[in-house]
Amino acid sequence: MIVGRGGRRLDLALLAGLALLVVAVPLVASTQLVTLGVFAGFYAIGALGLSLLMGRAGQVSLGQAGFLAVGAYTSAILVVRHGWNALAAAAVAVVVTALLGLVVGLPLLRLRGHYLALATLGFGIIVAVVANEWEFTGATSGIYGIPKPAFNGRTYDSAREFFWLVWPLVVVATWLAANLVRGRVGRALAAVSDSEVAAQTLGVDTFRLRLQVLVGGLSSVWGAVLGAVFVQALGELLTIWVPRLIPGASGEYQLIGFGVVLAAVVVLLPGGLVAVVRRLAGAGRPAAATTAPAPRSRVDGAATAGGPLLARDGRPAPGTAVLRVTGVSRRFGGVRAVDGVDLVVATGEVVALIGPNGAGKSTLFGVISGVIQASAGTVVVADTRVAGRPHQVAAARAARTFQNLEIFGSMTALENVMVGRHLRSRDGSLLAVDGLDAGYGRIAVLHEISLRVPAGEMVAVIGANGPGKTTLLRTISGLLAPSRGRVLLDGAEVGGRPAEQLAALGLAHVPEGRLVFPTLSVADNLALGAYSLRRRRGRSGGAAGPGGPRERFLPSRWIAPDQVLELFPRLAGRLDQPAGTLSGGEQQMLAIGRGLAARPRLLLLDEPSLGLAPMLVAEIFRALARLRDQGDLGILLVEQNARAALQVADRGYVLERGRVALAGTPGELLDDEGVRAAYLGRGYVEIAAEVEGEGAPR
Amino acid sequence: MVDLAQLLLTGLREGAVYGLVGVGFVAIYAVTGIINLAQGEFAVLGAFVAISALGAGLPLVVAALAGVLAVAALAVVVERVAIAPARGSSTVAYIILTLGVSIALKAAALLVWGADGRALPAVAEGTMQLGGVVITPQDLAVFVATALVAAVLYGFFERTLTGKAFRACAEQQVAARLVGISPARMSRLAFALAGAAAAVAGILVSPIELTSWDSGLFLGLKGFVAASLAGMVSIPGAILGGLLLGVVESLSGGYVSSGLKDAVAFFVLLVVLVLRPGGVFTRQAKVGV
Repeated sequence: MIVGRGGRRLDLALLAGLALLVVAVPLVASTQLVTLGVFAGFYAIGALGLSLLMGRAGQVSLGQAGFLAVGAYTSAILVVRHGWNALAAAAVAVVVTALLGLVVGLPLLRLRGHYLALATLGFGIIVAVVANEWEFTGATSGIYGIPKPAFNGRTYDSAREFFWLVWPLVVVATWLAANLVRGRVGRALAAVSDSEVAAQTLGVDTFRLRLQVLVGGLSSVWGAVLGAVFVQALGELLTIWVPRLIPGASGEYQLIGFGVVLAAVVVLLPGGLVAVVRRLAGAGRPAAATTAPAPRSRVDGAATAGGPLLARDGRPAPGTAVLRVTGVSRRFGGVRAVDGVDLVVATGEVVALIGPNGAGKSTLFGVISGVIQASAGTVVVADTRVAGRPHQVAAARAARTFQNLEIFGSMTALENVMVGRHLRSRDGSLLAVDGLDAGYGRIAVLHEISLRVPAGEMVAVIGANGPGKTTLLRTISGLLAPSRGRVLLDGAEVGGRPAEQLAALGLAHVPEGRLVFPTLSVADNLALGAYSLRRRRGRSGGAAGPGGPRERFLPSRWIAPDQVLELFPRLAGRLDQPAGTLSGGEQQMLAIGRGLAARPRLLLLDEPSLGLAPMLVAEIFRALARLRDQGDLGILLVEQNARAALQVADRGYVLERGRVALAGTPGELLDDEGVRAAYLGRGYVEIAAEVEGEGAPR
Repeated sequence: MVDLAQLLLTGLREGAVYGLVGVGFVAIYAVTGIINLAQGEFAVLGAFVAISALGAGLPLVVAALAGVLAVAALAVVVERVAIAPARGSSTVAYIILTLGVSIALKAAALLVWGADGRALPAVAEGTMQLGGVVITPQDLAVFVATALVAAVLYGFFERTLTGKAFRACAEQQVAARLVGISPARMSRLAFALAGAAAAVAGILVSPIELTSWDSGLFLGLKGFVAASLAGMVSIPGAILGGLLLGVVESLSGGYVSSGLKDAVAFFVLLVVLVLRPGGVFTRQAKVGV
């Protein structure tokens, strides 16, 4: 917040330093510099109030200038028209402005965010308009002839004396503000009374004031002071330097400079100057919030998807034997090319096989890679015993090169490489998740999740309440970036790519809560489901597909794929109805239909049964089973309704506290005592029976 | 009676302009949750570009189109340079950010076009009388152009896939991303739309009230009042809100005090905001969920 622990000592030191500066600066600095300092002081006091309001409640008041004007007018009128002493006038002005702040603040502070900002801006403008119209405030000519203040028989008329008047006030106000911020009472009062603090007696440019607070750092009392000095100096520099650099230019550049600084600070230094100072000061200490980057396995670059090697627990530890050759021999007729070879290759190792021409090196390679049958002995790659089947060896994730290159000469280089990826897409796993960690900010939700969804299968993830299941789907579909691990869609790494890109790769996520587009019609919802399809087609050459460019203009129901309406006939009669008016079950069907409209390869479903009547749940699950049975779509289903999910699924994973606790066929899971006790309530038995009755599950 | 009718006409004309500016507030807010305080400057720049284009010898309509396109492009640049890099910032930061943009644009206008007010010529000279009410061709131009913009927007949001994707992105951003709609792209589109609508407003009002570097403040704020009167989420509502505000302003200017006219808009804003604190638009956001 404003100042952390030990902040009080820091504040005292800063105060002392500031006091010293206040005394010393006017003695050594030029008049111009001192004048600059005087104005910086004015702005600093004004900015303090804003800083309190913005920093405390995160609220923006753009009406501070209005309060400043009221304070200034009050004191000026008292002094000029009624001959009051400046000190008394200032005191009354503070009280009047504070009361006004209270009156205006009470209703306005009920507003939040943009509304407060705009309402306070409106207040400021009303003050300005009224002041310009009202005879009492001198209308457009304002109030002039204000004498220099005089206290104790001393008139403050030089810049230096003004400096000594203003800056002690800055110091006192800063100290008060710092205490107000820290104190308990101050905390409670802050919301209402901030504007009083700012009610000082000088009219100030609105945006300068805001800028100072901003530049200083919105949550920092010291920032207000720092920023004021900075902005004042900036303004001065701009007015001095810009005309020199650009002949004929004048004060307008100051305005541009302020605008740019204002925007740039938000973009580049969200914490303001003070945060920069603190960062520099704290650079020696380790930053508490930085977490070490997730350690990456050494085989990262080499490892590919799928295969039994990775399926169990990610990657083999360094030093694990991945190739065991035992007693391998190969005869060609009477020639013994390879004779009783034993060797072991572990991960992280390079093993060299040397020998003269004709020693049998290539033959051994052939045997290991399965191209040549061994006459005797065994070859084990990872856990797979290789028996002369090259594609099995490749599936166990052994790759080889050839002495005579064996390049596919008729294909491009890219195509050659693509062939190398054959296995990754052929793995059968449409979706492969490996060692996935994910969460929200620093809260880790998922730990080392690995799972597979083959094409044509429905895989259920069950588990108790808690964010794990939804987080898993959100991470797979790119709404959330994984903090570690990989997500492979059809063999291609997609982890960390944003959701809006994944839709075009054939992934459809039907989110929890359905999230239909409420004011758009059912037909439009379905049409938007196919949005990624049409963007893709449009890019890859215009006139492809019926309609071509004209597709952008929606023929109302042409777009809804027949399949969706056939699957969910209820939707057919409601195509023109706004989606928000559908029942919960119909919305769920629409959400699934919207996902299917993109003709996905992988469908992620988040709690499709949530909050629906048993009848509808059965209807939806029947539809899902039909989809699965068509063979090319992979479905990952997340459900709390474990029994219903396991009845239709081909395989299931049990998620517990963000980890895969158990995986297996529905039969295995349903037989597990723990699963039965934890996840299978009684209520769903009937639904399951109903689904079963339709013959939907395999 | 004639006085009242005349005041109503003036109010509707000014209100149409506020409504067009308000449309931009809604477009940007709906997709990004940002109130763009540079909206008024977009309007001013539209008029200035049109004035310069006219000065360069282009016909009025072409010059106006140039102004609209230039500002739409500028708005996209603003989105990319200032808004997009700060994605995920707090409301406060966005307010200050767009304020900074507005100040910079204001200063740029001051530099390029100077401190004196300028005006576009009206579409045609002369006046006509309708039952004692004086109507100028420019009045008609304002109404026709506003209706045209409204029709184009209606067609865009109701008839095109991109328009519907825009609405989807405003209503359910998560689901929109899941079907492949990029919020970043929609945010740029929102700024382009907002810039174009504001530029139309600035160009329309320029022959009636001089355009100067600082006239964006009131245009922008009144556009915001128009948008928030309608709940910040409805584009037709923003135009209606603008018309309502224009009429209230015009009537209070005519019957109370013309000097206080500008304060009235903000008084209306304060009353509306305080009576329905923070939530003029909560009602609509809940539809059907």
